[in-house]
Amino acid sequence: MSEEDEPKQPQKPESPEAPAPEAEEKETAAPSEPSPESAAPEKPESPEAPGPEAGEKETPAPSEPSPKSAAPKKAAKPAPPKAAKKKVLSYEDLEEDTLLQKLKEKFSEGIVSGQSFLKQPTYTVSVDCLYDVMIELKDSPDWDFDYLIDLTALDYLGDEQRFCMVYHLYSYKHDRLIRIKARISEEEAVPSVTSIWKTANWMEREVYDMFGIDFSGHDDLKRILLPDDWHGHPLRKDYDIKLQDQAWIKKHLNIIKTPA
Amino acid sequence: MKTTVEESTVLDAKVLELNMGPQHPSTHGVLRVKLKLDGERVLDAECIIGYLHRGVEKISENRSYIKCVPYYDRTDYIAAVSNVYGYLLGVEAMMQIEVPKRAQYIRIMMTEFSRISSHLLWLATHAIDIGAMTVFLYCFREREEILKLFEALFGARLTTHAFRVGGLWKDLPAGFEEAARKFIDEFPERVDEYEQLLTKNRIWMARTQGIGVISGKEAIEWGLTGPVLRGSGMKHDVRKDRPYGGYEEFDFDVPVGENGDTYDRYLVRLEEMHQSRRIIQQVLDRLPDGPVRGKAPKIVKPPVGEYYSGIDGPRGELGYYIVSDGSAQPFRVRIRPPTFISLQVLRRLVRGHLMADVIAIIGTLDIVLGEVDR
Repeated sequence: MSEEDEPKQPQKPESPEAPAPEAEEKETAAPSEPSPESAAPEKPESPEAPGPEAGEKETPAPSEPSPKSAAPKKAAKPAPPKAAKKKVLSYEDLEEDTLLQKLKEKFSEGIVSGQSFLKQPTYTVSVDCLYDVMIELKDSPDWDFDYLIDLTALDYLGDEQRFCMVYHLYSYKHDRLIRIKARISEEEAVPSVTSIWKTANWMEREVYDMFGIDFSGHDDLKRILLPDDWHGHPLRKDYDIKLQDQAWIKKHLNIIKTPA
Repeated sequence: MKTTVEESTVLDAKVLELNMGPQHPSTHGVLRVKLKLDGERVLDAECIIGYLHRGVEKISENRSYIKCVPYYDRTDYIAAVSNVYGYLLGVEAMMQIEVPKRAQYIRIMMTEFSRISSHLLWLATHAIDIGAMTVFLYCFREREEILKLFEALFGARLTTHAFRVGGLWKDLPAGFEEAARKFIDEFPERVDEYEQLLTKNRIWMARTQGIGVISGKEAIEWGLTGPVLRGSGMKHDVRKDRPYGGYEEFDFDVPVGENGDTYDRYLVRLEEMHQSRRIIQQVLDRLPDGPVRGKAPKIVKPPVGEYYSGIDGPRGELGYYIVSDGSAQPFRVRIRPPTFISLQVLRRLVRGHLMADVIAIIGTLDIVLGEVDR
């Protein structure tokens, strides 16, 4: 399953009891309520996480005095009272999308899903055919995605396929922006796209540095922002924000222990 | 070429390894370049970066959406206004917040002011690197005027925390429009002064023409954007290609160069200042009345989803990829830093040039290490 599906699912069962927190935290600016939430000590680790948080806030009775102010804020929540003034933002399946159809014809099972959010289409592909899909997108005159805007990763700690590679592609000729995603597990390596877009070089090094994801076929894969002998990958969700490589600090800066 | 590098030793003095930086005035921050030289000629250059890494993306994941904003001021501190702008456009899109027209216009005006001030700082430092001292003083004279405008509206000169979710902190202060008009009326003459000093200056031309040439096609392959891409003759600007924030309502041209060398990039940036001035002129002429802040919640909690918002910053495409898990803190904010991506082309550009040209090429890429390292 792609991870686009996951964020949606927790939303559905949640919605019946959810409207309350939205409405009340809004209109009262409740003294005690917002603080535990904005200063939430541990960050939810995966898209499922908003669930418990919303659940615990739902205790103060679902008075529903200001649906008007609540509506523009969070569209996804007020499902039962039908109070939503604005359209509920959610992922939509791509329909009649020629790119998706063509890709499916060519790679069949390799294409997991095609969805869009805020009119930005996302295509999820399996990592096995990621490289071939990228070549197709870059070289085929129908698509001509000559510009790799960005390449990064997401960490869904706890999922079997922990990481998600995210590529933003743009075609100057067709004026089209798309997003390609591929889920990988912790041990898997991602095929490097440096041979397709030269610009991927440093971006992949950064992802390697920050997430510890391995890229096969990258000729100079080493840390880029952190020192070469640093331990750990800071943008992983299990790397606490205050965590530092104490051994490195001791060795190079001669500081015994940094304050936590 | 490569084998000679490896085989030679220090003793035969054929290939010399030289460290440029990290503390070097012409590296515009703390950039270390490991140069391999054959005499004066550069065989290879490797950039070592990360000295200013503060983990802004990690910090973002541990702050609320609104509290992230000041950190983005401090990535590209030369053009802090554009940085905040790009991020807020993304947040507002996900929250479906409508920004009032007046706020949109003022935002565009201030972003263009920030482009001018950024280009002025670039020109000043680029010129002084190459040896033209006077331009430095002139540019700072004009930049000071812009910073005064920033101070009047935002209360700060450099790390401005310019905009808020839904619009602006407050409306333009009294006398702002007059001061802005005065600036843009005088500005073309000031740019002419720089041009008199540089554009036909034989030393300037000798130092910049034919230096660091890159073709348009190759520039796209390297992911270059902004003035560096346009200097190579590619007429691409995010403001035109994917208009955002109301830019489609304004008239301006996208200047392009021909040869893709340092000189052309210089010309492109000078012309961009004129075009920014045109946009500001239009904003001032058509500035509508009304509120400057739309209806925005106190606690920003976008629905589960993701959005990429890219703007044309002074240095190229500045993108924010925001992933929300429905909580009050972003699941991930990825900053697409234009200069991080353009810096990697340095190695390709300096090969075969003289040692002194390395400084010109670093200057022409217009890097800000705070953004490269984040």
